[in-house]
Amino acid sequence: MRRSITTRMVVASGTLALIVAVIFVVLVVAIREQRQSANSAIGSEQAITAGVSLEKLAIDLETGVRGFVASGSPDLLQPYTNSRKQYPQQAAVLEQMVSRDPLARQQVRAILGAINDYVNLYSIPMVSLARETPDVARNVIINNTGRDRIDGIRREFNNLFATERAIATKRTEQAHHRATVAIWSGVVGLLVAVVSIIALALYLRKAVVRPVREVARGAERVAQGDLSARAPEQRHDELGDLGRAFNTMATSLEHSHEEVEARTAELERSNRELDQFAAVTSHDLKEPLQTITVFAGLMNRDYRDQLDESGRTFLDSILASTDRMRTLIRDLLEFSRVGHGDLQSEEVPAEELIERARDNLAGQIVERGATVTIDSLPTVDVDPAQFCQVFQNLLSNALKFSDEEAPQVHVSARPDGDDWRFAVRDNGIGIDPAQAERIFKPFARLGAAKEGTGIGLAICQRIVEHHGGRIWVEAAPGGGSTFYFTIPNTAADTEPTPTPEHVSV
Amino acid sequence: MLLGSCGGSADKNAATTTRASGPGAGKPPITIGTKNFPEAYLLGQLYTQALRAKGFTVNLKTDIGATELIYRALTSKSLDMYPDYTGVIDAVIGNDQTNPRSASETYRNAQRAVAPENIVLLDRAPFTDRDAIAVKPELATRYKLESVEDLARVPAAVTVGGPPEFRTREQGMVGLDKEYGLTNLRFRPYRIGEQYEQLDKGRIDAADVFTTDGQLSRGGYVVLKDPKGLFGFQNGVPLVRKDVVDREGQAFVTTVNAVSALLTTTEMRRMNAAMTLASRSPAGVAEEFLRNHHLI
Repeated sequence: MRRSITTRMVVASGTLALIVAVIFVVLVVAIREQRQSANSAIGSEQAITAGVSLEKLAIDLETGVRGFVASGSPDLLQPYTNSRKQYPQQAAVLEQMVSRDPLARQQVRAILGAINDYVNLYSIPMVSLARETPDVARNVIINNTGRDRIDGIRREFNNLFATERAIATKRTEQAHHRATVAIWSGVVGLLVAVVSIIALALYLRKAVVRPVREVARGAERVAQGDLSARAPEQRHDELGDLGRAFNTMATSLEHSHEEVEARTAELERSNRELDQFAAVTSHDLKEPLQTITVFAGLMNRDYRDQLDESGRTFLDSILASTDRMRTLIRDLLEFSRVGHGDLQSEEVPAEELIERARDNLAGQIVERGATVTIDSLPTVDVDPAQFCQVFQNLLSNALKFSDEEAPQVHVSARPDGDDWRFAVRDNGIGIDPAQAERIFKPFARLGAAKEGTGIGLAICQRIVEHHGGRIWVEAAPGGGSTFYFTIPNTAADTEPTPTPEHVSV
Repeated sequence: MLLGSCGGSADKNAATTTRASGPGAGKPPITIGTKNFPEAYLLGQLYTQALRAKGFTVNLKTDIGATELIYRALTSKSLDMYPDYTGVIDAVIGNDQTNPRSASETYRNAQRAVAPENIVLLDRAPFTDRDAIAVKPELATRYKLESVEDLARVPAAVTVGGPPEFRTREQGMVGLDKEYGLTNLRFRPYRIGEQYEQLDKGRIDAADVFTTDGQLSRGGYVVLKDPKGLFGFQNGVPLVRKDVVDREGQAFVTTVNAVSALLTTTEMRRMNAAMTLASRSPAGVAEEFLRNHHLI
């Protein structure tokens, strides 16, 4: 069954709110009941006070009647007269004050009935009799029932007071009890609320924070390259959705990555095969070519004079072609050789490499009347033979593509980020920027190339890239062109970071 | 549960209906008062229960007091009815100094006495509860006492115990002096009923008693004769305000008279004995009597 976190959060919050509300209601009810009990205890005291006043008035009635009948003096009737005026009002006060308790109510009714009976059935006739025939009244009152009635009323008052006191005691106890209940409700409620909040927090941690953290950890691992990282996804809520989405993404990433790796491996393999093919082919081509060269040489030496003009022209063509073919095969072998395998790197001053290249090209330089200048250059960590080749090819290139009487080549180097950037500038024919990319492809010779196999720059590119650098050409300001290439600056003490550019070619 | 409560409700209604079917149903409530001695309580209960059985609403106010007092409660409309005695009414209310010669004359006199205040007497009961002087048999033997006038033969002062009003009544100390010339009598007031005990203890020599007193059925006393008829005729009779008779109707009068007709001296003395000697309640004694006579 799916239970979303939202639903659970709402339920949990609602439950907590409900608990707090229940606690609040219990507290309010307890406090209200406590106040009611206290009030009603006070009410009982007030009822007793009112009862005592009424009782005094009832006694006054009897005192007045007895005094008047015994003495015949109207003055002594005064308490009776006053009391008769006052008692109905006091009776109403008592009726109002008395507790809602049925027994107390019944007792009050009995008292009021008894007082009314005393007044109507006893005192009024007695006073009337005493006014008309005092002697008769005096005799009658000896056996009077008035005192009995008043005594009965007093007993009933005492019963009422006992009832009210019992009620007051009970209510006071109740008030205390309810105050205790209120306090404990508050304390327990507070504890329940605190525990509930802690429980909710723990639940949140378990239900939300922890799963989210697990997904985050998975994402971190993926970011660090571990594409096999997965998030738990067995939950039936939003976090389960998150986990599943993350896993789908991670799986998809993993597949893509595997595909890229497979394709890269495939590419590398086919490249290697191609190089091998080139090496094997070149090697195999060398032998028949050698035979042709040898026999063409012999023919030129022994039979040249016996050939006519056309024959000699043909023979020269054969000799030139075999010569070109040999160069071509040598370059192809070189090209296929430099692309792979371990580098025989060592720390070597770049100047030394250039000097070596210049020595190799000494003939050409002299022939062309060229000038080669060198800035102060750094020491680099490279395969010396290969980099000597790079400088040699670039210098040779500069000499080849120069119409000038005195070609000038300048070699310089400067730091470029983590690399050294070398520049080989000439004052030659320059380069069409549109062709700048193409010239590094094998056999890509520009225009009417006078000589060369068209593999020299391709070899340069292979070597530079194999060392983790790159190579490009720009038109130099004021004519000529500048070849740039970079070599990681090992002295900068930073790992050269391979970029896709470096890897892809 | 539901059925039970329906049944209960129906029973209740049935009970109410029975009571409401009586001739007194819907009539204004009647307040009956009684004087302050057991026979008065008994009479109050007899009339009250009989009337209630006929559907009348009755408030019973017992223990009010002597005729002088209770009659004023009746005329001041605090009461609607109370039972008294014909002779007492004639003497106390009618202030009749003479001694009527017969029960019927006494009744007529009493009727006349209360008429000006719009009070009517319903039928008088057969029993008579008149005052009498009782002495211990020892005293009677010693001085050969048979009638009241024989008390003159007692050499020493004769102390008579009785209710306080006995002192000033014609049918009391006044008449004893006047009619029988008894000059050696002293009076000592007691609450009604106490005089037997006082007599037994020898604190008094003679007691004012009522002829229906239950104590007399024990035979421990000698009731002195009244040859001159000083204590007259004291038939029980209910006094009712005229407006109450008009208000309550004929059924009320019939019911009250039916009860009165059954009350003989013997029955009254027996019922008084049940109360004062066997400590039974006036209500219980009255209920038993009325049941025996099918009035409730």
